[in-house]
Amino acid sequence: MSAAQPLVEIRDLYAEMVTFDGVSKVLNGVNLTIHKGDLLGLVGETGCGKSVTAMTIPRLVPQPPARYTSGEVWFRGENMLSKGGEELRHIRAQHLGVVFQDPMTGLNPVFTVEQQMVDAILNRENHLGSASFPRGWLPSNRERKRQARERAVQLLRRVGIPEPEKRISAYPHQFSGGMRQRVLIAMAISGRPELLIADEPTTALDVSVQAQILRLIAELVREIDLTVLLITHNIGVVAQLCNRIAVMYAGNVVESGLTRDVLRAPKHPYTQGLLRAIPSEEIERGELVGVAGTVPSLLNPPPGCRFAPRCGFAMDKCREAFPPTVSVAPEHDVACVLYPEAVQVSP
Amino acid sequence: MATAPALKPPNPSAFARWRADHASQITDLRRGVYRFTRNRLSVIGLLLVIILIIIAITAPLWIPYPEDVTGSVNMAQRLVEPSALHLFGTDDAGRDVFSRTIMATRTSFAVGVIILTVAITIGVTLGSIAGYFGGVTNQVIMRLTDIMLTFPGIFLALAISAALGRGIINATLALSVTWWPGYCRLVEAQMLKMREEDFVAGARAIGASNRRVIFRHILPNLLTAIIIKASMDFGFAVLSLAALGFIGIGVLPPEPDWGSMISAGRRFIPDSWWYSTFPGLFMFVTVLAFNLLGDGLRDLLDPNSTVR
Amino acid sequence: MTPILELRNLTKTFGGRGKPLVRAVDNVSFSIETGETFGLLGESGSGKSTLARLIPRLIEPTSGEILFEGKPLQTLSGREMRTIREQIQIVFQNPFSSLNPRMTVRELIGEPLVVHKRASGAALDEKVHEMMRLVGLNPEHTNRFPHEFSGGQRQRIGIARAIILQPKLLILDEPTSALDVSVQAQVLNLLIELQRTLKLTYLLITHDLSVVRYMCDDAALMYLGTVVEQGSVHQVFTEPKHPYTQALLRDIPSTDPDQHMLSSVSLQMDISSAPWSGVGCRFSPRCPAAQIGECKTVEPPLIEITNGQLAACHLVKPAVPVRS
Repeated sequence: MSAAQPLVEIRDLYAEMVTFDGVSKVLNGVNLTIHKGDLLGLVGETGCGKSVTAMTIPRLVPQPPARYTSGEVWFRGENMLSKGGEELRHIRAQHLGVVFQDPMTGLNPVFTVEQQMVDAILNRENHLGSASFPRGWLPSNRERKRQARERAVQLLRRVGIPEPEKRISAYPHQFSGGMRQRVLIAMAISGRPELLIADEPTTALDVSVQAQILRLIAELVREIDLTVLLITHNIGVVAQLCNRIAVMYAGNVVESGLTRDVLRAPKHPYTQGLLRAIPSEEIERGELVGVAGTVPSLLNPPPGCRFAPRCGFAMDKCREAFPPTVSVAPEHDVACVLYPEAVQVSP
Repeated sequence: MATAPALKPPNPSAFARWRADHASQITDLRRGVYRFTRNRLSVIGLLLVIILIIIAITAPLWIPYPEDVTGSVNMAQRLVEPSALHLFGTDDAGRDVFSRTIMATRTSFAVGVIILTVAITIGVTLGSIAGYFGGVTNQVIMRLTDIMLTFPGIFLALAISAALGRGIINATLALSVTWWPGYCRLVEAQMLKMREEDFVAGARAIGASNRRVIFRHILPNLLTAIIIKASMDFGFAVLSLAALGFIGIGVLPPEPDWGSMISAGRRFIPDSWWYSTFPGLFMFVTVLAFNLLGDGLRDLLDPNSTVR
Repeated sequence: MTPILELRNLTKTFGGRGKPLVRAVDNVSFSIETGETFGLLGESGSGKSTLARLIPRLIEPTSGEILFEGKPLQTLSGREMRTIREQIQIVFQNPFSSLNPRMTVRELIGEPLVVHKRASGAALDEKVHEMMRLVGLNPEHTNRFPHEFSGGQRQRIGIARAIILQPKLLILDEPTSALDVSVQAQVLNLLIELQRTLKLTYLLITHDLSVVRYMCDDAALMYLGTVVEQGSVHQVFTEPKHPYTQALLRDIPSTDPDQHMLSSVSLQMDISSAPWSGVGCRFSPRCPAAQIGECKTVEPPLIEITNGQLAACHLVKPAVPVRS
């Protein structure tokens, strides 16, 4: 555990979503820490709350219908839950980069890549609106636009778009999925952010393209000192790219630590089940085990540990309260009662 | 979403079983009603429509001067101001404007229903065929539709009336003929889209015939759009009928009709303002009511919209 | 023994007459033995989904033959085809769009019986309940609508619907791609179970190599409309011959954190930025192997390299004398 202040610290975050059918308790006391230089993979299945957790940092979760009932979210030493308006915009522009899942819809189809990137770059530098008519025609803004365009070309080159000076004038539909995702990554890092949040950035792409994008992210982490929070349901991606992993289930982080430790010796029954559900070379046909049962409804979640109904090791204690997070090894935490002798890390 | 439900108590009543079976549909309906009622305007629209329909249906039972509707003339009572005896005053033949306006509601609604029924039947059938089968069939049908759309309804109605004579039947016919292209277009466009959906491929994969695929699978999904369009159209259909009445085609005198009443009353504006004004007001309210209702129905029937 | 399905030179082209010609499926041939699970692998643009729809003639082939139990399908009339459809069924990829949102589960699963006039009324209900139990759904939910079920359950509905007529061949088009990994495991195990009890033959179409490795006996890998490698799963996965197969196997992110694959990423470009010129090998614009003259000018034929394993590559020489 490094002594320096972590870049991101989420402490005991509880959040709810108000829907017609009731109140869905999406986050049940999430604890997550990201240090500078980490490549953290936030893993979990549909509905576990990984997107909500990650998108809370830039406050991109619409409130309502969401509301945060308790907990803290610290980014660069500032409490993000209390930020709003101009301050929040500033942080998003200059310290955060977000890449969303679907490269097909992430770019506006009626504007060229140049227009969108220049707009994004100028926006980050606090010159919102300087690219467009009529302010765009002012001499000072024309110069700014020219510089922004140069920077955009550099960024495109950096992310691996061939012939960027020419390609920049193209429209999004003239790019393939992988190329579009690169453009989105370029836009996300254009503000020289400290943290890049990538929500399932390769799910919609072919395997070979996925490998290229992952490699690009790894290179960027080294080159521009980027910290990455990667949301995905693909454990293979995390195993190859991320140095740290956090596994979420139904609104809680159930296990976290160094990727190698967690994947080689998973301690939480859910993590173990998840790994057993992935068909790999060693598993013979018919022997895939997986996890029994289905994900619980978050409108009426089970009491205590939400995984208890599906857990082969469940005890009465599990249903009384959510287990405290304990440290089974340096850099390896679990939220499970199976490890009573371990050191408690958080309530 | 769905986890295995707890065991139900043995032998529940038939109603309870029905309730449980259709729980989701009931919830959807409640959700839709909730959304609908949040929009005050749609509720107003719905209430107005209900009132108008009741008026239309029950009119003959309570209008104060039923003889005025069928053509009695009472010159002594000519152009009397609105009063307790004659709520909307009388017209130039001494007839009670109120009774006639109310009866005209009945005619208008009946004609509206017929127009839309015919238009929807023709339009949906042709649109389905054109959209589903594509190719030459599509071209032929859609070009026919285009041609029909270039005729302003009024002119076609004039032409048909000139050919077949005046009267409400011919007017209804004319309007029905000009209304179906709208539905044809709507259904064709939706059909083209739906045709590519996986569940259609699934139906074809199990061997369903084209007819079954169109009627059992695709059309139910288009029902919403058709209903919404129909509710909006109703107001305009009534308006069109009035327009025909205004220029003298359509309902034959002495049958009451908003359009012909407004037209006849023009001469007497501004002195006997009531003659044109009240029928006009009723027309306005009808069109408005159906428009508001149509908007609201979109919320009610579309299961995909979110509640705020 | 006659293979249950045999494709010979199956081709489907789109476009022409002013629009650019797209050879979605180009001269594909392979056969599937009764009772086996055959995996058809491919990424986006490979033509595998088109092929899935060609076999039951949901799309009409441009040329070539489809032989089901030895009988050609492409020449059958609409009515004859409908009878065949009882025996070839298809489960679609997207559990969210492949079920008619306005039909209840009972109507959906029971529809094949209605269409083919096999059962009605109480007998139909009985059969529907039986299917639901077989796939692991609660029979009390027959009056619910698809949107009330989770993705995995919807896929089970799709499977129940496909097997209710007891088909011989089941085509599964990306059956688990939209599902979470633990749900996928359940559905895959269900499919294995069903194959055993109902004696089904599967054509499993997917881009997920690990699923093919787990489920299939034989596999064929498609690229831009043609088969580039084919053989038993063991052959294809442990001794891949075609450069594309090798690249794909290298690029799957392994869940073993000690296997560092990122440092040796093989394919540099994607399909659209390195388009095929129409001449020569389709894979040559992206091929990482050292190419010879023929690669750019002559399309490599699919030939047998070793016993039962075929590949279409000029750089790969057969170990046994080439058969026809």
